Amino acid sequence: MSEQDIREGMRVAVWDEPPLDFDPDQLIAKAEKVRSRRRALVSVGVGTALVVVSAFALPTFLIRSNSDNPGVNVAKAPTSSAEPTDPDTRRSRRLSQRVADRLPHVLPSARGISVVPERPSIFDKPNAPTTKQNAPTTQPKANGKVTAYIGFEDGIGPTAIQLVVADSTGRAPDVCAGGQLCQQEDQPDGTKVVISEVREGSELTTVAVTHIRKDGMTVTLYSFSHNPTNGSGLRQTVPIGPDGLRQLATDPLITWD
Amino acid sequence: MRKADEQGFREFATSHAAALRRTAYLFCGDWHTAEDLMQASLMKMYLAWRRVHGMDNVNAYARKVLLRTWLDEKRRPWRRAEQHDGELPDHADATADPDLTSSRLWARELVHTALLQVPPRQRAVLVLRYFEDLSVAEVAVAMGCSEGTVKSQTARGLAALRAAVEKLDSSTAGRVAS
Repeated sequence: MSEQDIREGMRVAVWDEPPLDFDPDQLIAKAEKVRSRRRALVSVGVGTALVVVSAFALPTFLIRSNSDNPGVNVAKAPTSSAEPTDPDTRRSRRLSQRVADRLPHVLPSARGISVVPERPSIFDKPNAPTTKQNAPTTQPKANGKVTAYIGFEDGIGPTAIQLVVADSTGRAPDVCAGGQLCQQEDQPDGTKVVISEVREGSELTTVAVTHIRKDGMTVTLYSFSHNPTNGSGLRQTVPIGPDGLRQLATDPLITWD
Repeated sequence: MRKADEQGFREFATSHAAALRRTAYLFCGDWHTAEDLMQASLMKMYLAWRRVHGMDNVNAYARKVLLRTWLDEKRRPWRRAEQHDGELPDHADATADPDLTSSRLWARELVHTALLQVPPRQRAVLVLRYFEDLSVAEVAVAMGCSEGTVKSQTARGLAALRAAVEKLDSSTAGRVAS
């Protein structure tokens, strides 16, 4: 069969074609309907996508903005109207501000130092960083005990250390706090320093240094491998080691009254 | 769409609908499906007419759209061809002219039986080359492949068509063999 036969055969094959019933107006009307339906579908799709993206992005954005600005609730320079009336809160701010003022001597690279009072204590679960969702927003107050966070930013990112001061009348924190390493050092002035460390494998995740004074007051400083104010910012080790925390806890220039 | 563009499309569709349907018939072997393919292709062209009508060769674009539409249709499971396993009884056609019957029957057999046994892409190449009289380069553009592929597909398509024709009954085969 030659190519000419094929060519001729195809021509003859369409020779008896049925009459064409084609109306371009009908086709155009149908096409316009398809186009408007497609536009509506795209609009609905884009709207749905925006809602879904917003639903996922908004919480992330809020957490991140809070993480970037850990001192949002800082009362570094309290005004008369912002001055808390609760004596425990006032004391918490006062003591943590003193620690914040001394922090650059321990960690010269610290920037943006701020005070975040009355945030949740997470040392009860030292091995599990808390998240914003499951962290309580306020710390239950105990008589004679103040808790605060000192936020700062080092070369890695924003983080914070935790301060707990308990009077002799208050409930002192567990000085070993479940740490794998807990060692007590007697100081020349008769006070004691207890250093507790928690590790996950070879990584140091929590360090707690407690200074037990002669009058029974305990000053405990915690340093975590994550940002305890929001549970994020996980890093390989703690931002301030046991020596730095001990220097702060026993700093003679800080008065704890 | 602007009135002028719409009028341009209307003129194009009216003048090319029949030719597109013929090509579609040779692709699929059925006039009803061919009409559907033609309408679907023209609708696609209407939706893209604003950028299509400025092209140098709108005809080539229309052929490409038709080919893609047909290949897409073939891929859909509910469009798969029926399997005929029974024998239909023969009926005499009172309107048939015996003098013309021989050649038309041969052509119909060529299309309905032999050409439909050729794989779709090879069939498309044969139709575009021997019915539309396109060059190898033009077929390559319409198929979206290289000219070498067109040549090889043509050779394979011709071999497949000849093999299919061989299987037809002896009287038809005897006429077409040359």
